[in-house]
Amino acid sequence: MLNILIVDDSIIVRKQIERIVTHLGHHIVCSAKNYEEAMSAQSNYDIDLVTMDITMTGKNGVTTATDILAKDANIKIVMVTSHGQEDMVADSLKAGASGYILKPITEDKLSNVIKKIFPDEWNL
Amino acid sequence: MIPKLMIQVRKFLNEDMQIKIKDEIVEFNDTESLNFVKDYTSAICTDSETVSVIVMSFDKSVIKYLVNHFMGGEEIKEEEIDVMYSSMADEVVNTIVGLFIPSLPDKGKGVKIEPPITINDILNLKDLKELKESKNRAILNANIVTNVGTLSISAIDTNIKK
Repeated sequence: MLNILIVDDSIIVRKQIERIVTHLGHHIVCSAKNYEEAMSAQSNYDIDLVTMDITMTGKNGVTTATDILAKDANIKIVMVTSHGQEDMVADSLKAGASGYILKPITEDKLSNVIKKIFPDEWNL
Repeated sequence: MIPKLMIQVRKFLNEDMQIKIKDEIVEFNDTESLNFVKDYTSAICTDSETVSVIVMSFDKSVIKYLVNHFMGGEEIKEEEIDVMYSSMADEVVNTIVGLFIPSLPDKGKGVKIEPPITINDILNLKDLKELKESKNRAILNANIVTNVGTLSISAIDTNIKK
């Protein structure tokens, strides 16, 4: 079971990801709507994986991912994005994000990307 | 541009959301005819050489269905319903426009999308009025009747240079 931080400024997307990762058997440590809440969650919880919205208002997902990884390079980050944001996806991967999924989000897409990043989780 | 946008709307509704389209009325108009009268409305801008605006407006019944689909049937708290419904409208327009961009010339390279805007307050309505009164062009209005209610989509090429 992974400890997961969800970062997204859309409440419907946060709720959708919460539902999916819970169904996949993981633990949500926090559901953050912006940079500040994400950074606070990182200080307060042990986190294995972050799902990160790429185009949040305020500091965007690339900056948030970069700052999270600067504090703890072991955390894995999956960027959640639409088409049309390829430059930001490239920036995120350069900054150390482990992967990305394109909207619309589905359980299959999310479980596949988690499986790639944490192959051992699926053999327990 | 317009047929390709409609392909993504149909694909999203039919394949991703399992919504059945019963009828479509597609018209080309000018900005004066823009009329977003449904319960939830959201707009998104795309930047390339010029700025385009895509506006989607939904019956409450459509949004209610979509929220239920996103939530896998889980109930939502009464106090969260309105914010969840507005967020749903934003997310639909964001996702559809995202799916549409790769169908543009050169696979939409260089086209960026801005975060969606919910059109439900005085400031946004003022912006919308200005948009309607400006001398824009290439307006598509599509009214889509589905098994869960009606939605409309308007695509506006503003001629505004980036």
